[in-house]
Amino acid sequence: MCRQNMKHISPVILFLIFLNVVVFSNTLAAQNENVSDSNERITNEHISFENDLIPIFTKFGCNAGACHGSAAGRGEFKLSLFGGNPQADYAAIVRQIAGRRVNLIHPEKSLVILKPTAQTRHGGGRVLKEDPEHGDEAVQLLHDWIRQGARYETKRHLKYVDITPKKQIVSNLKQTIHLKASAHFSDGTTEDVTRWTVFTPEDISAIEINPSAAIAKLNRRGRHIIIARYLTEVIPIEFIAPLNETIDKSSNTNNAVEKTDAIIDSEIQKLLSTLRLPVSATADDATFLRRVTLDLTGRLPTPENVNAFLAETDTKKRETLVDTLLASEEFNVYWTLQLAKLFRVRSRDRNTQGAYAYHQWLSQQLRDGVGYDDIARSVILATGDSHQVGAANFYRTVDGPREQAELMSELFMGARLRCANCHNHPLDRWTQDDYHGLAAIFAKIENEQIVRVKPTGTVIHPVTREKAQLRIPGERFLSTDVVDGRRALADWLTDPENPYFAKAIVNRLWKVMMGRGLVEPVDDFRSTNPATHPDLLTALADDFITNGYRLRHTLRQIALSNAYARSANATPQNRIDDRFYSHALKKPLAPEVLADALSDVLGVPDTYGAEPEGTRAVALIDPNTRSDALDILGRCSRQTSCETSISAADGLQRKLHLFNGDLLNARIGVPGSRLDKLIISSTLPMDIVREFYLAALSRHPTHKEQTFWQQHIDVDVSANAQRAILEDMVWSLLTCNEFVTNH
Amino acid sequence: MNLLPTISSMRQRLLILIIISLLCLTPSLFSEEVHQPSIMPPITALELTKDGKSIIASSQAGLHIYEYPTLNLQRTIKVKAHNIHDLAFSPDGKLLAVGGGNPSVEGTVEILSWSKGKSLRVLKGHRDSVTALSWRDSSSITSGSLDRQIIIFDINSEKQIQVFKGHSKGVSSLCFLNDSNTLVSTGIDQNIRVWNATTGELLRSLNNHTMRVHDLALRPNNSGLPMVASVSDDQTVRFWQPSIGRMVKFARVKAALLNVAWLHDGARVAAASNDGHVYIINPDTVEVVTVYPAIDGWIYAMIVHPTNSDIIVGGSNGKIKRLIVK
Repeated sequence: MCRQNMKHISPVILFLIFLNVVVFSNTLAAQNENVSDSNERITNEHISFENDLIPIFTKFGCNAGACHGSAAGRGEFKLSLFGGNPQADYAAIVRQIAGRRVNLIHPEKSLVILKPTAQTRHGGGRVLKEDPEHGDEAVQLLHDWIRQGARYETKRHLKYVDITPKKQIVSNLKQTIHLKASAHFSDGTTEDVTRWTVFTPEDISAIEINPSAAIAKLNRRGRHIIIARYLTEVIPIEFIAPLNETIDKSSNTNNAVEKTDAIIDSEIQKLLSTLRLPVSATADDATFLRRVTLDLTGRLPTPENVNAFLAETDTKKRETLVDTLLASEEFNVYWTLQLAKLFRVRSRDRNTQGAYAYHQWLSQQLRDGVGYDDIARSVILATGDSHQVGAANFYRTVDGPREQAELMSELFMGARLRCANCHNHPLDRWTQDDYHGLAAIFAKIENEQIVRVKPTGTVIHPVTREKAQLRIPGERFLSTDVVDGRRALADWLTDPENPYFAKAIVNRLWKVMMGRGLVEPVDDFRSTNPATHPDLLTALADDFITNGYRLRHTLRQIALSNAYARSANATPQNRIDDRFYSHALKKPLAPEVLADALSDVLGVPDTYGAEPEGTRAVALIDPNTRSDALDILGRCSRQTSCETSISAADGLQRKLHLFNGDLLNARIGVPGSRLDKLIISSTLPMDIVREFYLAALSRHPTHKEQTFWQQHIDVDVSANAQRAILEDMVWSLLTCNEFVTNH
Repeated sequence: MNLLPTISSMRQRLLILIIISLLCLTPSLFSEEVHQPSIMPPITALELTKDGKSIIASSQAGLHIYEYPTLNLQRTIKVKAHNIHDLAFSPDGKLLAVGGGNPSVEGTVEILSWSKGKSLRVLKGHRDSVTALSWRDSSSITSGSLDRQIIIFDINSEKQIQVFKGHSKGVSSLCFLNDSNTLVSTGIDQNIRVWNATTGELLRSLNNHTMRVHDLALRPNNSGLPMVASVSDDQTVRFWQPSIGRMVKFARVKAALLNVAWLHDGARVAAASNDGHVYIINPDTVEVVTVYPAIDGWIYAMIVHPTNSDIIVGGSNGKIKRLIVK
C-alpha cells in the first residue's frame, strides 16, 4: 500500500521535491553568488574617496565653478572648487541632509549616481553619460565605493603627477599628440590617471582636445598652453608650432645674436629660432632715442637732443645715452610715478599729507638708488605718523587686513591670493590658510594716521571660524606667541631664495620697457600661467638680486639689449608675433606721458588743479588732481591696480578727443605756442614742419613727407591760410599713431 | 490500521512540502536585492512610543524598534520610502507618521498603525523628500520637504488642507506653538518662518542665523510668550519668541548643530552636533553647562524623555546611544 500510495502520490510529490530542489539550489546559488560577489567586493581594491572619486567630479565638471563648485553650490549641493577640500566634499555627499545622497542599502538608488546619470532630474543633465567609456567606469566606481561603505579613509596620498609630454615642438599641424598623466602616491605606487585628468587648452581655438582619448591637436601655429589637472595638481603643457616653415633669410636682417653673453638676447633668440621667427632690423638712432627717452624719463627728446644724438659718431652712444638718462632727474620723476602707481599712492578722504609723504619717500629712495628689497622691507615694517613717515602709508592704501594681504601679494609676489579668501586657489598653490594667515599678520597693524602694532587685531578663518593663525604664505605658520609677524614676512620676502619677489618686479620692469610682461598679467604669477621665457625671467631675477635689487641696473640691461633695440616695423614673417620680441611692440603712451608730450610739442603747458603753471603731469602726486586732459586720456585713480588700464589708455574716447576735442585743437595755434612763436619769428614753413617732426616724432621728415608738405604749403597764399595749413600739419602729427605710441 | 496513519502521514508530508515550497518561492518571487552594508546607514529620526517602552529609529534600512531603556533591538519594519527623515506619533499615539521619500522624485508621509506597524496610507504631494513632520491634531499632519513646501494633510481624506510656500530652499524642521495655529518652520535658506496655519499666511521671517538652520523645538512648561530654540550650521543655538519675532538670546558652541530638544522641565536645552557631542545649555544664561561625547560621527536625531533626564541620540553608522543627563 505504501508503494501504491507512493505510486499514486509520487508525481505530485516528485514535482514538489523537484521544485524545492530547484528553488533551494537557486536560492543557495544566489546566496553563494551574493557571498562570492560580496567577497569579490571586499577583496576588490579599496576605492578612495579622495584619490578615486574627486578626480571623477573634476573630470565631469561637477565641482567646476559653473556647477556645484560655485561659491553657493548648485541645487543646494555644494562641492569645493575642483575638489580643493575633499573632506568638505565628503561631508556634503555622505553626511549632509542625513546622508540622503548615498544609499548604503541600495547603492544604485543613491542620488550621487541617479543625478549625474539623469535617472532623476538633474540641472546638469547626463554628465556621466556624455563620455560613455569613462562615464560607465565612473558610475561603477561610485557604486562600488558606496557598497564598500562610502568611507573617507584613504591609504595613500598624491605626491605629484607626471605629465608627458611637458613640452613639445609640433612641426606638422596634422600631428596628434597623446597626453599621459601618471600619479605618484605616498605608498610608492604609480598609476596611470590619464583618463581622470582634465586637459584644458588656454585658447580653445588654438588646440583641440579629445577628452576621451586624451589626444591634443593644434589648430594654429604659435606657442600654446594646455593645463592638465588631476586632484590638486595643475600642470601646464607647452606646445610650440613654428610660425614659419623656414626663416626667410632675405628678410632676416638681424637674426644673429650680437652679444651671446647677454642674458636677455640669448634666451629671446633661442625661442625665436624654435619658432622660426625672423627678427626685424635694429631700430634707427632716432627711433631708439625717442623710445628709450620715453621709457626712462617719460618725456620726448628735445629737437636739440635729437640732432645732437643723430650727429654723434661714437659707437657706444646708445650706452652713453642710457646711462645719462638713468642718472637724470627726469628719470627720478618719471620712475617715482611708476612706483607711485604700483604702490597706489593717493590721497585719502581729501587728506593729501600722507600721499605727499609717501610720494616724497619713494622719490628719495629712487634718488638714493635704494635696493628694491630695502624699499619693500621699509614699507612692510613701517610704523609711525603716516603724514610724516612716507612708508607707513603702505598701510593706509587699502582698508582692512584682507585687502592689505591682497595688495602685498600682488605688489611684492605678483600673485593673486584673493581667490583663496573663499576657497583654496583653483589654479595655484595658495590655500585659505595662506590667505587668512597673511591677513592675520596685517590685522595686527592699526592703519589710522598713526600706524602702529595692534596686538589685539585678528581675522576669523571662515573654515574654522576661529582666529586665523599668522602665516607666511605657502611656507609656515608663525608661532602663536608672535604679535608682529611683519619682520618674519619681510625676511622671507626679501630672501634671495624667495621665488616670487625678484621675479615680480623684474617682470614689471620688463613690461614697461618691452610692452608686455614675460608673465602676463604681471600680477598673476602661477604655475598655470607660465612665462613666455621662463629661463630669461629667472636669469633676470638672479641678476637683479646679484646687483643689489637695483632698478636702474635691470632697466639698463633691458635698454641695451638687442631685443629692446629692434624696430617696431614687423616683417611679413614676424608680424603675427605679439610676445616673442622678434620686433618691438608699440606701446600706447601713458596718459601722463601723452599729456606732457602734447604740452611739450605744442609749447603750451597744461594746468593741473592748483599746481603751479608748468607742472608736468608725470610729477603730480595726487592722481585725483583736477585735470580734464588726464580724465580724457584715461588716467588711473589708483584705488585699484593700475596694471590693467592700458586698454583704457588706448581707448576710443581718447582717440575721439584727440581728433575732435579741445585738448588738441584749442591749443595748437594759441598765442605763445610753439607754432605761434615760429610763425611770428618768420621761420620758413618747411623749417616749421621740420621743427615739429623733431619735436613730436624725434626725427626728420622723410623725403616723401617733405615733398607732401611742400606741395601743400603754398608760400603764395595768405598768412591766415598758411597758418591754417600749418595747424593742420601739427594736428596730423599729434594724432598719428607714431606720436601717440612709443614704438 | 496502518493505512490511515500512512495516508495521513503522506498528506502531512505533502502539506509540509507545499508549505516549504511556498516559503521558498515567496522570497524568490517578491524580494528585491538588498545589500548588507559594511557600514550601517545613519539613524535619521527617533521617536519614543507613548507607553515609553520602545524607541523607534529610522534609517535607509527601515524602522528599528528598540526596547527602552536597554536599547535592545526588538524588530525591524519595512516602509515604502527609500530615505526616511522624520517620525511623529499622533497625539493619541495610535498612528506613526513616517516622513521621507525618494530623493529628488517625491516626498511621502506614510501612516502606520501602532503598534502593529501596518501601513494604512501614504500621503503624497511633495516633489522631494519629506524632512519634517508635526501633527496639528489627531486627524491632520504637517509635512515640510526639500521641495521647499509645507503641506497640511487631512490623513483621512488624504487631501491637502493648506500649502505654505515661502522658504527659498528645503524645509528642515517644523513645530506648532501651543495654539495649534501658529506654525514655525526652519530651512536650509537660513531662515525661520512663522505661519498662520489656517490661512497659510507667512507672518514673519526670522533671519539671524547665518547658515543652514536644522532644527527647532518649543519650550515646554513656559509661562509668557512661547519660546523656541533653533540650531544651525553657524554653531549657535538661538532662542526666539516667534509670536513677536524677537530673537531673545543665543549661545555659541564649537561645532555645527543639527538637533535641539528641551529637557523635560524646560530649564535646559540639549543641542546635538556634527562632531558627535551633545551640549547642554542654560537658556537663561546661554552658557554651555555640560558637554557629553555621544557618538563618533554626526548626530542626526535626538529625543529627550518626557519625564526623566534621558537623552537618546542616533546618527552616523546606525549608532544609537542613551545619555543620562545629570
